[in-house]
Amino acid sequence: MDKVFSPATLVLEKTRIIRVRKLPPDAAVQVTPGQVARAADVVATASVPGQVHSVAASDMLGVAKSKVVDYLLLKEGDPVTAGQALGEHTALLGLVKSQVVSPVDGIVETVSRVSGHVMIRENPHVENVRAFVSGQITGVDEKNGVTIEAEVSLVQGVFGVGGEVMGTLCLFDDTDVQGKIVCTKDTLTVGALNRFKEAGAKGVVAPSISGSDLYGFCGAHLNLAATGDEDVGLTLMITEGFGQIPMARRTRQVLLDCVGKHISMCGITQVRAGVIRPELIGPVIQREDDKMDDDQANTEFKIVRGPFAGEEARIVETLATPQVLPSGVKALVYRVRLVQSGDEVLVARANVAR
Amino acid sequence: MEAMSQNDTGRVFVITDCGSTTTKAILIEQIDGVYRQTYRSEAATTVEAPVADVTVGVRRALLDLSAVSGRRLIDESGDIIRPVSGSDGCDMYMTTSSAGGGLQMVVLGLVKTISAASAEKAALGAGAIVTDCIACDDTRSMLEQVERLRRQRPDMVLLAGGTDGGQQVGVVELAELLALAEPVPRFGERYELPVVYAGNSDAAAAVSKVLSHTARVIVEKNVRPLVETETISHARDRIHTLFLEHVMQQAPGFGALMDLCDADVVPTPAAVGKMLQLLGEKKSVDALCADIGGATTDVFSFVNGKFNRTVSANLGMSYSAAFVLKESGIANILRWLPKGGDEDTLLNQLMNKTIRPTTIPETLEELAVEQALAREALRLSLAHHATFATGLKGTVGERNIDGGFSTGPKSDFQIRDVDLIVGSGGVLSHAPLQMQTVAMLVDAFLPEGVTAIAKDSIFMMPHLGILGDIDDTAALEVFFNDCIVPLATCVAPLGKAIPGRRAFSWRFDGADGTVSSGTVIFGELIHEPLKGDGRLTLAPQRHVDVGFGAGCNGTLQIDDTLLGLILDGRGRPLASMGTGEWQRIYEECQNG
Repeated sequence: MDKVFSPATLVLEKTRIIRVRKLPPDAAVQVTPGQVARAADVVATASVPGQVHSVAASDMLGVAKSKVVDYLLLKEGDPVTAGQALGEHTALLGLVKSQVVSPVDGIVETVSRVSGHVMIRENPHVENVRAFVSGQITGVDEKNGVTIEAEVSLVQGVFGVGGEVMGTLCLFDDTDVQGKIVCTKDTLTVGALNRFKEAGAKGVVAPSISGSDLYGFCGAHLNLAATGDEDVGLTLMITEGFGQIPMARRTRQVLLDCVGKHISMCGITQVRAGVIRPELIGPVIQREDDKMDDDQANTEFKIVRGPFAGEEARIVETLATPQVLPSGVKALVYRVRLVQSGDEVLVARANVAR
Repeated sequence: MEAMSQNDTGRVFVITDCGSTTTKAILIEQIDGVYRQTYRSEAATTVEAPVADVTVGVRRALLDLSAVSGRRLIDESGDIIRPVSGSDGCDMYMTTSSAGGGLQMVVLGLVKTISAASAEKAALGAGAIVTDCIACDDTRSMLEQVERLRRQRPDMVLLAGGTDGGQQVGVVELAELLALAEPVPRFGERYELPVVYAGNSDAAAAVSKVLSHTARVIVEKNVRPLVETETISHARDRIHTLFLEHVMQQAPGFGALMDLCDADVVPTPAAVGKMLQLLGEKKSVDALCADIGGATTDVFSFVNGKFNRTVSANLGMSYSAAFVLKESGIANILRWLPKGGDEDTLLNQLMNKTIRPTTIPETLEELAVEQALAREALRLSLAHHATFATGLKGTVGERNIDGGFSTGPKSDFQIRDVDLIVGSGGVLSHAPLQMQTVAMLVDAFLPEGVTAIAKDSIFMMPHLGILGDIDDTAALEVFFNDCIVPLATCVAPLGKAIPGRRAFSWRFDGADGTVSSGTVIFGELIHEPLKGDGRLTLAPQRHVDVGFGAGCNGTLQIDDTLLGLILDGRGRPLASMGTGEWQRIYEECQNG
């Protein structure tokens, strides 16, 4: 059967993944090819340059911009601490004295004779790059990154918020969610999210959330098309979409199998070109009925739009010619059997997801 | 690369547009002495890995074009067959491109509404996507600006600020900011970032010195030599030259693509601008073109001899659906839904569309939501366009004869001056009913007076823009015969509706001798399915203006359209949304 699944998200009990951990410039790699790394291990460290602060020294000293360097106590490259005098100017036989101080610890980066500004760069800080996935180091390229290969279980969501987190997966009714990643089969609410956050959860996985609750939790400025940088106190992964949509059976099963295990989760989502979906990575799941699951995986799909959105279905027939949908839009369709009701309906191919 | 004489006849042109996802090829040849677009084909653009060579996609599209046209265009060695030999080959091959993200620029200026605005206009006019516009007076702190610049990976930077002979400090500070941020070019560190400096000419040396370790500075004429004067053409042309000489050479396969071509490669949006300009200059048609995509909406206008282009970066039908909702407000989208709806459901539907951008509407309700979203995205994009297309800010306002003061620069763009509206993009091109396309364009743009409504189903305007540089007659012939689909002629009185009052009467004298006439009451929205060319006479009531002046009658020639006349008496701004009327018109169209 010719199948086209545009908005695919993967749910796999066992798969081999390759992850390249991108390194910041001038990073020192801490691992070697062939080495086995655990998710929390540091694979590289880097000294990241501090931020730059501009001090309008000539204005603050009341001197000409071109002469500012004559009144500075420090020169380019000198270290400086917050509150330390950068320059002084005395006028009227010492009656008027002005001083300019550094706002931060760092070094004097540049002094401009044109603008009269002094640029102070904050001290660098150390950034650790962790493996994020437990596996084998298969490549080290100081320019491109550290490559890790691993056999894992994988659940991709459709939408996420926040960056990478690691912790034990627990169910929503666990009495202690501190430092854990919480999994719920029900539609999330802003109240539940706030409770998990206050209880110290690192992340939450849920099938759906209403748009208003998501904005209520993250703020209305959230850009749905590119996420990952949000600082909302936890990482969130939604597996189905917005509204009240139940979690697909297969997704629910894999997540249940991961409960109590150490997992890694990342909320980064990019809907535009070079699609990135949020993902949850856990240990390989071994089950006796694997064969049946594979069969189910190959024939069952989710309907993601239209009157049957949220339902699971099996493809009965792939119609070769475009059909006119109730909307009037002409599109290629599948004839599918809905798992729950057994009804056969036509669904646009573009609206079916694995 | 020498353009052929315009007197030559019977030339065969092959033109491609390398888009982000698709490379579209068209064949243009003469039929009965008239240039026509005879065949077209498309192939996936191959600028991304693993192919990473744009010419592969171009050759695939041309092979497909050969197959459908029966004209062999590629020889055994993969070269384009030129000149025409028998029934094979073509005389010229040209292309436009927005592949690989097009030309991405960051713009810096001293004052957001003065030098930064002029710099942005120059960059947009050159066909660039302006990823950020940084000004000393924007609301961000210097730290945020440096951080923002670091995150950008532009192909080029345009730095402006200060008037010639004026203060140098501000623009040098901007250069220092840029030097601190050290933005990495999109195509990697090996490539030296070009910075076009088009600010205070006296500060050029200081700016070049500050940036000497960061970028390659190219000094160009100041975009605002005086506050009252704007000269963007030099900067715009320089950007285009640098795009061809440096940026394109870095993109995968573009060096080879340029060798394949018989004319310069032009950024896609710049080519659309060329086409509109040609239309205005040769046919005296003031046109507005809107291309609504998944992420962005491009609006182009050539009105009263002035070309303007804006890109509304976050107004689109899928990736940006949630942003359109945020900008317009839920109520403004709900107002276009014939059956209304609740806010939460609408919010969820549009957010799902954002995260699953390739899904399509299955039900009439879902389609209505998408078309409502399109109206708002287009409306907001036009508002952005009108704001951008203003006279120079920062100049002394003109005092009116009545003693009032000008409240600010007037927009160069007035919808009442537009003769032709062309819509493009999936939601407009592939609407199930042609009338739905007309409804979206009329509701979003609110044309005034008499305006032709058309669509460019396959977005051929870029191809014709580049052809216009070589043969303007051919470009115009293809534009009118094959590019645009004339949908309807909209007649709408200017100004507010006076409900229940007669607005205007009309009479259509068809070229075939048929005569139709009627009267429009304010508030009405009427469809008259007239066929053929003819003369339209409009007689408005006293104080009502249908484009000839208040209370003035007028007659004008109108061309044949697919759907005929739309007589829109809803007033400007709209006194009613007309959703019920549109539904009735759709049903009439389906039945008739």
